[in-house]
Amino acid sequence: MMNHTDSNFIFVRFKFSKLKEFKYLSHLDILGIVSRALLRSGIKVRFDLSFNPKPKAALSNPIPLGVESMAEYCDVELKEDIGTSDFMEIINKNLPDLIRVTAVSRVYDKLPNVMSQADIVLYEFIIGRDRGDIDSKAEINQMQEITPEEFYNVEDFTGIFKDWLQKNPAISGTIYKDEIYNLEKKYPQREKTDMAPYGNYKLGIYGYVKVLKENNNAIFKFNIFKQNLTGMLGQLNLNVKSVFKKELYLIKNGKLVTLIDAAQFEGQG
Amino acid sequence: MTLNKKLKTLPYDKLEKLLEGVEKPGRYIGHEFGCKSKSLKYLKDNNNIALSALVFPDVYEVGMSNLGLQILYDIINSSLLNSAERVFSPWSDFEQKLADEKIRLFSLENRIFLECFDLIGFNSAHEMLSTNILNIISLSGLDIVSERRFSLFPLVCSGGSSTYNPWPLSKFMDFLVIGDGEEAVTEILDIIRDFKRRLNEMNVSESGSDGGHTADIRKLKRSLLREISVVDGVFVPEFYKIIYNSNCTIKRFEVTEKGVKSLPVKKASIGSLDSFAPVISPVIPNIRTVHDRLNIEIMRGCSRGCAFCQAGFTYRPVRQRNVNDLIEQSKNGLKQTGYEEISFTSLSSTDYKKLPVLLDAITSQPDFEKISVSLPSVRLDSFNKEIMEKIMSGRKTGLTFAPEAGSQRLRDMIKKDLTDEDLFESLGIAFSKGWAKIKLYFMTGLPAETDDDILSIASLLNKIITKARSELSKKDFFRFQVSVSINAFCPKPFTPMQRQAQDSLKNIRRKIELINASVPKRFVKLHWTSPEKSIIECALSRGDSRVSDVIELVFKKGAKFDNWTDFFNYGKWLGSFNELGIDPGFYTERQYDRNEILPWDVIDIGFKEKLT
Repeated sequence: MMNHTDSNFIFVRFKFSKLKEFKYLSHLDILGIVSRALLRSGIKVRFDLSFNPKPKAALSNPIPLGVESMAEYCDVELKEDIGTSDFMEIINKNLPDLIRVTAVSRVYDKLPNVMSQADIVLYEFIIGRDRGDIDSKAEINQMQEITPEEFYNVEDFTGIFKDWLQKNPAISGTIYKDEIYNLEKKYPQREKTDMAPYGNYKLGIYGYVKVLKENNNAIFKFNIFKQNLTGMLGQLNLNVKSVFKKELYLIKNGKLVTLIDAAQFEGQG
Repeated sequence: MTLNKKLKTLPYDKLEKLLEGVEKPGRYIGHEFGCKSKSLKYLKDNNNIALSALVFPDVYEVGMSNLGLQILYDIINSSLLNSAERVFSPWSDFEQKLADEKIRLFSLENRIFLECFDLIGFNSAHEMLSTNILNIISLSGLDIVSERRFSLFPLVCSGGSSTYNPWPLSKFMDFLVIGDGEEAVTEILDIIRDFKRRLNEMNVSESGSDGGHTADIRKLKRSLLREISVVDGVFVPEFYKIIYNSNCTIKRFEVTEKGVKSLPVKKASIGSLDSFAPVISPVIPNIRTVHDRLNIEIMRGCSRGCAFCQAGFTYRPVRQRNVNDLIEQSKNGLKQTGYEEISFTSLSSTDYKKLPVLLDAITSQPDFEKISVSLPSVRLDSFNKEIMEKIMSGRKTGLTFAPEAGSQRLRDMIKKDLTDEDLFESLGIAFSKGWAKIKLYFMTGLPAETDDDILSIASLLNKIITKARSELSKKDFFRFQVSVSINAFCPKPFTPMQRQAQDSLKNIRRKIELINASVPKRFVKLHWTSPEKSIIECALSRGDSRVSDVIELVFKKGAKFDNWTDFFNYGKWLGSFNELGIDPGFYTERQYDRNEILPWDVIDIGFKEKLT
């Protein structure tokens, strides 16, 4: 870690969401959008020394295309001190509507690269049985054969999930922990009483984004996980309805600390 | 029945399904910074808004770089009574998804299906977009042929550079707008709104898909088109007709509707550019586009008289913007957009009288130390040292010159007012500033071109290389490259060369071969436009109403993205001409008689002197 007593170095870390249609934009597109927003905001940013100078801004780990995020992070170097709430207001005015800055922290010491600092990523999978697409009687009958009479309660589903994980050490070795909650059980409308109940689970997966010697020897691969999970769910007639990237953490004294909290923490230290 | 058609939009989950696995999904998602369309709620809450779809018939990255689109979008959306949304050509993978899911084409902002708009306006920026235009009409669920569209709205129209000859698109358009669009667009939308209001008061339905009402709807549409036709620059194809001679040349034009304006139709021309401020808060694309920069139009029209250049004549008169306004607008534009590159556009930016003042004001700003300035279409002869040194101080991208012909003899013939000395003087300054990437444009197939003329391209390049070797530093010479672009000459309407013959395909091929064989291989990167494409471009640009049929047929055979080398299919075009018994050579290889009536004589571009 570098220590700068030089007051010319002003670092700001901000957290932003990237929602809906913007899940289709690449890491590079988002970096371009954020950089341009910084430039038009009038906030005085420091530029790199490349041939075509760009604002000194670094984003957290790239996110798979097609995943919405509540927790993208950006570290930026400024030439002027500006209050964090002013920063948030000004930058939000200059961003497209599907990107919102939700937290800003001033950093008094230069932090390690935001990309290398994260240890853990939290993805939230909404899992459910979507009956919306089933129209034909044949499809409904076919489903009746495979689906259980009742929608699994959360304990049962958790059991099935844990069993599956245990049988897949290549995947479970990349997961720090998981949480399953929010069973939302719905019953079909009256005219379709021959259908099984349906609903949603929320599955939180805390995956390693880097190899930590004591804990894991592989990092969490989103696409592989999702593909395998989808396969497993298919046998239960369930599917992944949506995925959010919820948060990025580092592990500090055995506890998970968000990257925003980490910035403040480092600042005090 | 009510006049207000329900605004049907594509739900988000359907969009998700469409975007699964397509290339560059960022093309289809909208939500860019600077969008100005009215919200769906506003459109539903406010009766009688004129809703326009502005279409650039190429992919997002190309269309978003088009200045005309941004200008009209800005003007329309500045009114509370109008709203415009953008539409671009879907790439083939997305088009396939639309077909698979049985979904019609929709706009970018609110994902409103095109059939729900009042007006669909195309920018036909060049002839090779014609099949893409038809494709978009068809993907909207509308019939491509104007007279087979049996509903009042949407009206389908087109403007843009290729419409100075309105006939090739005449079959598909309810009307065309020739010339500057700034004033015309507002007038047309006023008429549409007023017409809708009156219909509403009369309680008339606008959709007439059922047989009984069709005749009424056609009558209504005709009266609406009559009202629109009054606007300067508007040409309504169904009011006019070409009477052909037996040899397929034009005998005369006929006005088929009583009381409409007589021919030729005057193009729309705005008096002063200053009454329309440049777009300083354009829509800023989320993904990388072709020209991802702030474009500020400093001048419209060109005072040069290059005999081959259509824009040089059709964009007249020359109108320059006030420099003090421009300085203010450029500064504001840079601030509002966050762009690091500004382009001062026009047909010949170095002819803008106050260019040094403008460049000074922008490049000397401490706030803009990271800004690079680019000037498209630099004229060698006017490219004086002062201007050059100003833009040289910015980022070094590339420097483009258009000598057009290798020999002075040919340049004189096409009235390209520049000499080798001009070129070498400019290159000298460029090299002394360390510019090592040069781009040059040439034409081949010019009338009276000899092999000596062609070979002089190579000798010019050799001289440039020799100069670069002696004047560039060793380090810069390492990066030295000349990019050479060759285009076949294509005689265009409203130019002094409009009646000239285009060279034959065989000849053009041979000449490109000769250039390829003669130019030095080291340091030179040679590109050429496919000669087959140039032939079709020429046939379309000099086409009459019969060419409309060819475009329709070739579209039905699957032609699209004709400007994309991978898509352009000469065989399909040739086949379509042949099938209809039309010889493309009639429009290309033929020298038009000096007394022959030209298809584009129906348009008056306001240029007084007789061309040829």
